[in-house]
Amino acid sequence: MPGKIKVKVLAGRNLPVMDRASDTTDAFVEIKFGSITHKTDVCRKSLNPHWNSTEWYRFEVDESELQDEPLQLRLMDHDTYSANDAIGKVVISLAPLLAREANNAKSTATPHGGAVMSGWIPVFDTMHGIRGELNVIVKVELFSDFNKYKTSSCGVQFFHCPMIPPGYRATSIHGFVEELVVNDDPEYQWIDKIRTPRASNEARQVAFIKLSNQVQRLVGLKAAELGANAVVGYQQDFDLEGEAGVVARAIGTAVSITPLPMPSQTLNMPPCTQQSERDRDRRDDKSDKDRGSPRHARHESYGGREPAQAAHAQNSSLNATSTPLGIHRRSSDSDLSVTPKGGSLNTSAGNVGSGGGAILRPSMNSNNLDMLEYPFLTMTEYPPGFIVHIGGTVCARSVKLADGGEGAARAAWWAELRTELRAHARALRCNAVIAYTENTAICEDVCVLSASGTAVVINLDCDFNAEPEPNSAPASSVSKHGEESDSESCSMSHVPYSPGAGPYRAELAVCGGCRRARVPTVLLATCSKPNKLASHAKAVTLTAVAARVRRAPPTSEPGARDISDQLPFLEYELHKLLLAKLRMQGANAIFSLQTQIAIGERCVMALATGTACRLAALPPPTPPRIKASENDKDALEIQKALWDSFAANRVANGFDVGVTEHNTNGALPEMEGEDAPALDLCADKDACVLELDEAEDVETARALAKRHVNMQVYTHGLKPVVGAPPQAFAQVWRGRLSLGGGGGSACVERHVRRALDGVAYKLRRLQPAALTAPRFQLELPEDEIQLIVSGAAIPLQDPNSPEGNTVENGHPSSHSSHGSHGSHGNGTGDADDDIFELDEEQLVKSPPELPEEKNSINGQVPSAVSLSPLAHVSGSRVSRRLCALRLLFVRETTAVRELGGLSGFLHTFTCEVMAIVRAYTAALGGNALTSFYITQLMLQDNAHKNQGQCLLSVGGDIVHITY
Amino acid sequence: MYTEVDVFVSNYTLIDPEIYQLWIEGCSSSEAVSTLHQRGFAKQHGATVELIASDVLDHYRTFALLERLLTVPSKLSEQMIFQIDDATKQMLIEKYYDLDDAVIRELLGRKLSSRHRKDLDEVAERSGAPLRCCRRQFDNVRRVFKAVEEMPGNVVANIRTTFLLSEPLAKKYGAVVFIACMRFETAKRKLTYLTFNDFYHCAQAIMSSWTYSCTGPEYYDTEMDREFLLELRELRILLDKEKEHKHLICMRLRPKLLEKSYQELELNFRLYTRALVGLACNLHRGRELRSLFIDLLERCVEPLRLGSWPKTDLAQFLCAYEQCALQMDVLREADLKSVWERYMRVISQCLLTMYHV
Repeated sequence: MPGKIKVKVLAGRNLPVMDRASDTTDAFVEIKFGSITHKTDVCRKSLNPHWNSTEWYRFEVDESELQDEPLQLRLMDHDTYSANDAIGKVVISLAPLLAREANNAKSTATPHGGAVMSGWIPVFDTMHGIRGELNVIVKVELFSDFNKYKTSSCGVQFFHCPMIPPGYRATSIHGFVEELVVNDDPEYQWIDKIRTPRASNEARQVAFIKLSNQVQRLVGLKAAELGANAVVGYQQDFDLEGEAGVVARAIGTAVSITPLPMPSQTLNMPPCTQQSERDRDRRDDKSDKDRGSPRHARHESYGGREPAQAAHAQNSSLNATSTPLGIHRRSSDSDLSVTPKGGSLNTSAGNVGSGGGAILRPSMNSNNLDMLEYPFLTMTEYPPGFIVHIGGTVCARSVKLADGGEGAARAAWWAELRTELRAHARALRCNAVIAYTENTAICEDVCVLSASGTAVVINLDCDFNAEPEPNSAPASSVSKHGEESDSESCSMSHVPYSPGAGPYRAELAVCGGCRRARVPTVLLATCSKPNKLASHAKAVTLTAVAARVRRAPPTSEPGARDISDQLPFLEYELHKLLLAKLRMQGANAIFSLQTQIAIGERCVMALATGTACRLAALPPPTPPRIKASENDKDALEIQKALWDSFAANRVANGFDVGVTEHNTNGALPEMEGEDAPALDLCADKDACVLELDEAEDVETARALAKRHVNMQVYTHGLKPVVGAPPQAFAQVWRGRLSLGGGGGSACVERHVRRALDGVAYKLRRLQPAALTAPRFQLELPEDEIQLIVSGAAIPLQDPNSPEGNTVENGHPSSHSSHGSHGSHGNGTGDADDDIFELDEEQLVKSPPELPEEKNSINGQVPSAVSLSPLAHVSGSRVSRRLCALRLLFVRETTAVRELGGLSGFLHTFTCEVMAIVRAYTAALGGNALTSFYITQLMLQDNAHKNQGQCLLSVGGDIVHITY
Repeated sequence: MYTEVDVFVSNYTLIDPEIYQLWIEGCSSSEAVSTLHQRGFAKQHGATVELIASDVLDHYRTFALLERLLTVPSKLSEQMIFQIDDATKQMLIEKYYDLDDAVIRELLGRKLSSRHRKDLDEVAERSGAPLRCCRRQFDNVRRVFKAVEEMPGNVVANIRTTFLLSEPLAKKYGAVVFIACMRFETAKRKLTYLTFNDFYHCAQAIMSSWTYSCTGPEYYDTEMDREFLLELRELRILLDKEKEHKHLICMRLRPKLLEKSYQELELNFRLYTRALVGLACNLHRGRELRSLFIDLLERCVEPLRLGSWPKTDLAQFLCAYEQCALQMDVLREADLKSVWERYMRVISQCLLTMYHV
């Protein structure tokens, strides 16, 4: 009996009136876990009931059940004569508690209270939204279990944080872990026809939560088998395949981490000495024994779970198991010399309509696996020195028909894609793929699976512990590392392959930093910009949309084949547009690039978003030129317009200044010197950027010439106001899709534009502020188009006002005593230096001061919870990283009009979900949620029935921050 | 353009004071958009009308959701749905409960029942405020009235703690509630020249001097001090000593008043003193108390106006009238000095307020 749950329900408040006659409610709570149910007494005639029993409701459960099953509290209204009415529910996943409990058990040194969740949690009803709050206490006690064949993974911590979490030290990175679970969607079961919408929604919500817990447990198990104690960069997705069921997918990176000593956090860490490989091995082995996890024994079965990979696993098992750090490049020279075959793109799949389009299109060269099964890492930020060279974005897609098959079939689909991607990376002479993500787009039974990442050469022997603290993390670190070598700052951008041996004909140039090595003219990467890479300070959000009309019936094989045929063209167009836009901004690199495919019934679209910046090492982009016949008046005009806006953008972005502030040696090539080329049209095909062959191209060119001013993108160089929390937001827009020219791409382009403008306008009161890289979700439900933008705005110090004032005036919550800290720190120049200084100062002044005390002294509203899509909360320090939180909500209404239309419905629901997220965060002891995400899985409406339904999935890492 | 969904939600609820003000004023969303557009929002922020509209709609949806909470302001601080800092919360409440003098003047004396909610068109027409705005104020007044009507203790303090309002605003509501409780006649045609502010000052004076407020928390300060009103009857003896009273006043005022006013006083003293004392004697009757303002107008203000008294002289007269009576033996003997002071403090204040020149 490995776990005990104790629950206490103290009180409720603000309950709805359930008894019209007396205007009160007779409330009681059913506490359910698995098949066991407890009930509280009925608290008669009160909207703010107190259940005075001091009794704990106990559940003794099996460990796997502990992880999978959620604790369900159902608030009911007692009726003597009729059936009791449901008021709402509180569904609590125990995973966050289990992770903490397990950790507390292991390290007695960390004194933060037991695994307790305590506080007011909103009672949520799927038909009415929030209906009051319950004050509950939930405790979990785990018994140590050394069973070798355990099915749980309580000890593994999960972080959505896309890097080694600040505050922790990584001892080793074990590699990629993934899992996939398929289940029936309760919405599509026969019983749904006869049960109430409420019962159906609740069944669905619980089923999804269980699925989510299950997939997390399995990922944890795999990580434990690898000898890891945490999964970082954890991503979980649901694919709603309709009648075929629902697929929960999760990927992450298994790592071994140890928390750093409390007060100093990462900031003042002494540089750790590098340990020898043997040392690490020994420690890992030891820890394996401690944990009793039979890693070696289980590894075969890990591979064996997916039949397709059995062979690979055997190949790799030796290497992979003997060195936990073992992403070693073992490829022989013969590997490298294999000539790329241009036409063999689709070899990986003999399946229906597999389209292996990719932005970079290296071909398969070998199936030899010489590393871990998949050398993929889901993190996007790494310690300096980890990334040696960046090869570029790699991407693989395939089109499948969802037929309600088993999980194994889907696992095989993904395995194919991963294999293909690995091959792409290898063709770029890279030994790993970082910032790896997986996506699906589904329309009826056709789905497009995408896997993408950035191929890089990594060095696993680097010092993991020199993690960049995100706050400080300076683009200006060049100056710090200046002594090491100048090439240090640019080597990351050097191509990992020799000019002749590249997998495809790439344009290469001489590196602007060291003037020796080769660099690509343009760099696309899915990871965030490594801090070491010298660049101009300013970054710009870049978006590009391509669309194509579907030519076949949308479903089944013809539909899938059509999509498969169109994908390469779509991607080509997208890529072309993206590069053109990049050039128009005067930038030469895109980081945090996300590409997504959306399939509608009539068209298919691709949306790419990223952060464009100008790297010092890469050659400056030349002004765009147009290819057209000599005497075309229009073309000349457009050319002129393009040049004008190119120049204007460059100035606006500050890219016209030759020497970057970070580049101390001034070794940049003189780009000032370049004269604007004479205004002529280019006839030479190679040098031209745009061809004006078709009417669409002219449109595109015109659109490119239009300038847009975006909100500033948040980069590490910017100075956020100390104590001012980020403003996380979600914007949903849905409208009718007009399939104009280019399958509606112009229309979508406009909406994307408008969405960004809208965000900037709506956050106008926060100015000056910068935007974290916004996340776009594009969907094409029926005849409509839906665009969701989520992100956060970070208030910045006003550069125009004296620094001291900014802090005081900047935000009501920033306390004056802090203001002095902040202004002092920020007055001194480089961002990283301040943080160090600030921290030291605090340490010297007040070493015994506990963060909690400080917080209360500062008079900050204890209930205020910040949400941040970044791994940290700007202007603050993370004092404790508690656990990952993932919640899922189903909401339905039969009164759409009364709620103010679908907008009103969604507005209410989103507000409520954010409120519940905050409540959970506070109840689990945090005051901020980092790596926050909000994903809308579905929004349906039926105008005739006045009915609407929506699914939202949210989550992040709960942390405790101090300002 | 056809838009089905356009929603922007942020973690810290965004409240634009300017848009909130427009909502408070009862503007529809389209009116608000055009107002903002005219104010040059488009140029200032480089936003299109479409964006302004989308932003206004976001705000209006938030306000609609907030409105439920604003009816019970204590819930606003307890609720978890919107994350709003305290200063903004205070602003939201304060503005929501804000009273328009013109509107509230029209609402004074009306029955605060939901039946009358329908008849607010007239109020809207006469005050010039949009109907929506009148409804909000009507509902607010009704809610405040219902909440504190039966509550013991100081009415202003009760309003402050129940509705979390600022002192000045709570005082306004206190006056409105008091006038409603007393059912003072305020809507007569003759009284329309009085503004809400006039009634506010009069009500303040009455509340501070004539109610139980000074005697303890178990009493209601929305209730008249019955004993005091009954004692007022005794003041009739002043009329018997009219000559003496007049003499003392004339002595005192001769050097201070304008000649014209003094003449007037000598001539009409009897009229005035009968009106003032007569009023006092009848106040214990409910009907007389309710028609206090109309009586003051008809019996004092109108004759004074005929005599075209300057306001300063009136103040002098009232002061002397009170003081001189105190010097007389009758009041001392009958132990009525404090009653007289209490009575005259209010009457002087009311007359001076109501006497618009």
